[in-house]
Amino acid sequence: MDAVDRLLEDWRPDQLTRVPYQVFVDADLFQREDERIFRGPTWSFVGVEAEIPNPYDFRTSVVGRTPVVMTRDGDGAVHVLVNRCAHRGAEVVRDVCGNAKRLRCLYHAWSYDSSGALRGAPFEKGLAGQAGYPSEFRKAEHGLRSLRVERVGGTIFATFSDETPPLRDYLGSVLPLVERIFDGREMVVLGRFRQRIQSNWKLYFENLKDAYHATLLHPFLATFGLGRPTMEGRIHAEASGVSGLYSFTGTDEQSKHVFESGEADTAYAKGLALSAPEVVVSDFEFGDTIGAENLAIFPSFAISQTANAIATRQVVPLAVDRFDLVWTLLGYSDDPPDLRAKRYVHANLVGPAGYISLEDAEALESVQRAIVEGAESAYVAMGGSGADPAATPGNMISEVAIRSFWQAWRRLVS
Amino acid sequence: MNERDVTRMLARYADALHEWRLEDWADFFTDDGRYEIIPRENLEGLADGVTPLGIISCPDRRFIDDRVKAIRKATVYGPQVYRHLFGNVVADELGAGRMAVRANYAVYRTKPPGEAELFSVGKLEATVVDGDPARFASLRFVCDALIPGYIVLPL
Repeated sequence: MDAVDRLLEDWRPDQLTRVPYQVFVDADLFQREDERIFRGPTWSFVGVEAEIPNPYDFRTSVVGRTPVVMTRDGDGAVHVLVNRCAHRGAEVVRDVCGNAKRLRCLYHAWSYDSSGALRGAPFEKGLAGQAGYPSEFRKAEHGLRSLRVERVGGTIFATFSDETPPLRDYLGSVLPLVERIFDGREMVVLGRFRQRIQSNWKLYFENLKDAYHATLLHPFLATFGLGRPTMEGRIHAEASGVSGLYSFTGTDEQSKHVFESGEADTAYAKGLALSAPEVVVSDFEFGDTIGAENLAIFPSFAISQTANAIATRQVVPLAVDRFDLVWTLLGYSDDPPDLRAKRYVHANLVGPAGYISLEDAEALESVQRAIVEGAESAYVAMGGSGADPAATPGNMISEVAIRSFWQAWRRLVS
Repeated sequence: MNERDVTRMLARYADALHEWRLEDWADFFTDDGRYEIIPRENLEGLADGVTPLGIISCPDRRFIDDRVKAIRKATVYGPQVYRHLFGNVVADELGAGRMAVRANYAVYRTKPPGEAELFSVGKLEATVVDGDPARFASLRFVCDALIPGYIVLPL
């Protein structure tokens, strides 16, 4: 029994309010996560259809740490292929994105089509009848590894495992929230933000599921009426580790003014008024009053709506104490110009310089520095000790989705 | 106004940020002055009708003043200082007292007790309006690389 097994055995399954810090610092556990989680029965987000709109478009991405390339073939079908030559392992695609009928490895020029099938291996028959591959060599047996792919709206997910339940079942009660944004309309990529955070990737997943921290760590939220603890909120948490958090503008006295007048309310901070209040005033484009929403799709993905900023966030684990966060800001191709302009203004709320996101990196790196030796454990008991959000009251002061996340994680790594 | 004046203006700009004089930083911009930090990849392969997206985008001075207020009163961050290095500064006359400015930049960030890192590297593009003092009608930082951690103080 190794140290990882001992850790998991000592951590009783009913003990959801304690999270041993060792899970954030143990390098062996990080290796195990690669196999059991990222290459296990989970769905990883790899991109959106708007990134590969045309036949033969490709774009590189990752599933966990494994490099992949998503492609659209000549018939319009989407493939997710491991970006590793079947011959000697070089990356077949080294550009971030592009358009090509053949994907050609630089090392020995093996070339593949957009479905990953091997189409050419130089000197297959040798040179002047000498050497060449053995007679039993079949190109059909040396294609790029192809992952299972499923799509919802314009999102593209992939999994290594045949055991992963269908994507729609995996998303469960969060599916309608995904389809609220990815509703089948054509989307357009406005741009990307990338940040590298010096902490374990799971600290970010906890953060995505942490309704309790929002108005405490991010003073801008409450100060300018975007989110307040008194607003009505909802928490979804699925057994798969998928969760959804969102709150309704106008459901408390303090945010009612914002909703009804369309003007920012700065009552929280006396004497502090925004010169450009449009940064916090949403268009409520989805036919509801949700001002901020965050869907965390275990193990690598989040979708967020912050006023009119729509973003996907991909979590890319790099090492036990380091991950990249890739934000893709989206709009719809039929956006009216004034709504499109709001997406750019509201993009100031998110990303590495976002008014309600920049603090997350500071907090996570601070945790990682403080727990470096992996002793002791976190206390995660706000809103009870269970993992069922149905048992929580209708506000956001809760850590229930974090407890649910750890249940899903433990089921996979144990 | 000439290239040497622009170089001195960039030095004063960097000093304001280094010393956390954020209100002075905001005063480097005209009323309709635009400030942006844009990742280089957002300038490449844009879809039809899409304008480049900034990590920070302040379409006019009001947004710049709000950024300062937010940093002072509505965000949480750790202590840190920047050190800007500007190079290859080129300023061309546009007429009517305006100059087009290009430069390369590197910003090092130091957090206590004393660890420095290369925080951002890239180029800047600006339009400077002559006056007393000269101000930026636009200032765009195009960063080549990802952001280490987060960005609270503007570049």
